[in-house]
Amino acid sequence: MPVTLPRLRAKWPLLLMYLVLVAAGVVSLVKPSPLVYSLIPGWVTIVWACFFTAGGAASAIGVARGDWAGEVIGLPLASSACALYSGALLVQATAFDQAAGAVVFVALLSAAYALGLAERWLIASSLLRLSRRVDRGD
Amino acid sequence: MATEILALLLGAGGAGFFAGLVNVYLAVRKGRIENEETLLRRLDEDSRRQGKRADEAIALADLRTRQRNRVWEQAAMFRRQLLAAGIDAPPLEDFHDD
Repeated sequence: MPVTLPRLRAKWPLLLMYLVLVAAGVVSLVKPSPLVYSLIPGWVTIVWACFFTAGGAASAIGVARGDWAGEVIGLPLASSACALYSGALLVQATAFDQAAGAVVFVALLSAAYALGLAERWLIASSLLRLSRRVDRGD
Repeated sequence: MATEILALLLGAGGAGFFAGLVNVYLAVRKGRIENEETLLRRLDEDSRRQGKRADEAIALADLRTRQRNRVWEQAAMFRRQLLAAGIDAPPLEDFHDD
C-alpha cells in the first residue's frame, strides 16, 4: 500500500497569515504605530513596517509557489518586526495605567507569534540545507 | 537602552534575511528550489537508500564474522591434530594480528 508523505504545511491558512502580515505592514507604513514611533527614529519605523510588508510578501509568494525559498528569506524580517513590536509594547506598558495588563498581554502574544515565525524559519532553513546535503551525498 | 535592544532585534532580522538569501542562492545554484512534495519525496528516498546501505553493511559484517570463526575452528582442529601427532604447535593466540 503506497504511503502518503505527511505535509509540513497547510497552504491556505499559511498564505492567509502571510497576507495579513503584508496588510499589517502596509497599515504601519501608512499610519505608523505611535508606540513604536515614540521609541525609535522615524526612518527606523519605516524600515520596521517594510520588514512586515517584505517579509510577509516573500513568505506568501514562497507558500503560493509551493517552495521554501520565500519563507527562508521573508520570515526573519517578519519575526524580528513582531519581536520589535512586542518589545515596544512591553517598554511602554507602564504608561497605560488602566490598560497595562492588556498591553502586556498583547506584547506577550506578539512575542509568541515572533517565536513561532522564527521556529518556521529554522525548519525551512534546515530543510533547504538538508536538501543540499543529500545532493552532496553526505 | 530599550531603543538599542529594539534596533538589535531589527538587526537580527536583517542578518537572518541575508543568511536566508545565501541559503536560497546556494540552493538555486544547484537548481534545487523544488516544491514541498518533491523535496520530501527526495529526502525520503535518500533515507531509504541509506537504510538499505546500512543493512547491506551489517549483513557483510555478519558474513565476515562467520567466515573468521570458521577459519579459527579449522586452525584449532589442525592444532589438535598436530599435538596428537606429537608436534609442538604454537598456541592459537600467537596468530592474532591485533
